[in-house]
Amino acid sequence: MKILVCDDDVLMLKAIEFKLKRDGYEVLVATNGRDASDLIRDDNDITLVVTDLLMPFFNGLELINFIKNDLQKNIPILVLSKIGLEETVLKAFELGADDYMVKPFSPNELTIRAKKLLMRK
Amino acid sequence: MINILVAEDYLFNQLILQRYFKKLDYSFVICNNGSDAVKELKQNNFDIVLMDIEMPIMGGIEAVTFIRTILDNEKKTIPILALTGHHDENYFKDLREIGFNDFILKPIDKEDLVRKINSYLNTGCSINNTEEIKQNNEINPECTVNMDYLNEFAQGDKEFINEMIGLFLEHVPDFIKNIKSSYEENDWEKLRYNAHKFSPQLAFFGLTPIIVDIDMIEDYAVKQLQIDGFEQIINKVEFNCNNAIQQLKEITI
Repeated sequence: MKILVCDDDVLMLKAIEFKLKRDGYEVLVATNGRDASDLIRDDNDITLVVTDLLMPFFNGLELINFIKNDLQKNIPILVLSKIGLEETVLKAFELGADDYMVKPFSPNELTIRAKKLLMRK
Repeated sequence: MINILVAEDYLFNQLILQRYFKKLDYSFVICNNGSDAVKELKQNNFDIVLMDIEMPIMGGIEAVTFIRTILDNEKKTIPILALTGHHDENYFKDLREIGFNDFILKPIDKEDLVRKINSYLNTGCSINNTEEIKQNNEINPECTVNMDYLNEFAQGDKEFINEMIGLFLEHVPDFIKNIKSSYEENDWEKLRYNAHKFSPQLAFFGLTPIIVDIDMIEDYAVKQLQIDGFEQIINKVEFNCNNAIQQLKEITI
């Protein structure tokens, strides 16, 4: 199963990539929404998207809108957020996000949430 | 131990503060009005005062005016934080002119309370004197790197840990530079963005005291609040980050 992770925080990106690879997934990474949207448009094997919200260029909300509404792809989206962005998280859900986690999160929580979303699909 | 004087007549807030202070191991005295608080401050030594505004007998404004003008030199400069439910910039400005250093909004949020208190005291990583920060090259024991969270991810993979340390060492100077420049340029959005992004990175290395300051910077940037000592908080962050860098460079895995 292939997971796309999008975050402009390179440490967070590295940590998530490391954990998900350990869990046995193939992982693609992008540091902004623009690159992530290109990857998702061209790769039909991506089964889950994990994305941050506050990013330069194309932000997380724009990415969710692009996947769910423009491309009409039914890929589960797990949103990452820091405390203080509750309204943005709500908007993410309105646009079609499926679940969210607050940073900093436990690596085991990431494993469980990713697994659940992939099972749902 | 931090010793706090509270003037608050509302029982519910007294209980909340009591509970927080006991958990934080702070010592405290609670008075029901400004008059009792002034008497208490005359007789005993405290590090900081939390003062409600509307109280019977003597309100917070009268009490602060009294403290700032009548008490002896050592006591008249004590940091005083207003406890208020008003969310109004002009009101905050008036409070500062009267002699309050800062304010804590009601309902009282524990994190906000700790941040504000720490920012006025030499506790944890708090160092108020910029020159002292520049001259002190020793590791601050309160800002010790803690690898527990990173180890949770790593599960024993040393290569991953080294890679994360390398990324952190590479990116910290840029964050500090960006936070400083956005503050100097009054670019609140950039300041907020950089503070927002920096905090989770610090979490990987258990640098909680720096996170508290960074979150405070983010909070002020969101509210676009220029407060006294903003520059000192940024300097403190820089100093503590340099300490952390020093420690991480010494870690041999």
